[in-house]
Amino acid sequence: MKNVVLVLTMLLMGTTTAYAGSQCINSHDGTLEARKNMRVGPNHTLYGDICNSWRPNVWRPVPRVAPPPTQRHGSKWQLCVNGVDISNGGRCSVNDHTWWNHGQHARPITLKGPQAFDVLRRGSILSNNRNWEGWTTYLVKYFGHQRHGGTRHSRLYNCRVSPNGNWAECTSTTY
Amino acid sequence: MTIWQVVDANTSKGLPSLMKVIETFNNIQDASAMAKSTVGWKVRAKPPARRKKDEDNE
Repeated sequence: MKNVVLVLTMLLMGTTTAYAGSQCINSHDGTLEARKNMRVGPNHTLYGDICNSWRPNVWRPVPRVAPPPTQRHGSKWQLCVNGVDISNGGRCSVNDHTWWNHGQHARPITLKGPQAFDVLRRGSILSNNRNWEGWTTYLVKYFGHQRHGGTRHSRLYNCRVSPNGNWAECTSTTY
Repeated sequence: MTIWQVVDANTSKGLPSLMKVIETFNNIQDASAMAKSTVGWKVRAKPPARRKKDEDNE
């Protein structure tokens, strides 16, 4: 009795495996048996080549080909320590700033007049000093830059205000 | 016209609105000069929400 149950279980598992994973059955599975294909009816038998043409959507692993060394050098991925690419000892073409800005080179922005005062108003003044000419300088963290995707990108600005307080200029730092 | 405040940053570490306002100025230069006199004093623009509340109360 146990043997009968075991045989039936194995048959059930074999059937499930055969019809669950692949869309058809072929005779190129290491056996000489030509089995029935349930998709085209019980009276049709599909063999290897024909069967393959019935499953265009079957996932097949795409072979991964490692890029040649010349292409690897063109990659933006570098492991840099103090500006030196430790993989080849050369100079890093992508610096830390470009890295943190997702490959975008952040150009310094210079704002004058009302726009500079807007940076001073909306930003957080981290430090302030006065030089000998009477101009005051400020280091301002400004959160107003809207980036793609809705996130805001803060920037540091070096601002200076004229002695009479009516004129201001701000230049963004590169960090 | 922007109103500038000199605040004591040591009075509140987390909430800027709780910082003690030392003095208010119309000119950022004057505020900056006063802020430099004491360590921990900072310059900031008067928050717009606070301005509106103050104007409503006047």
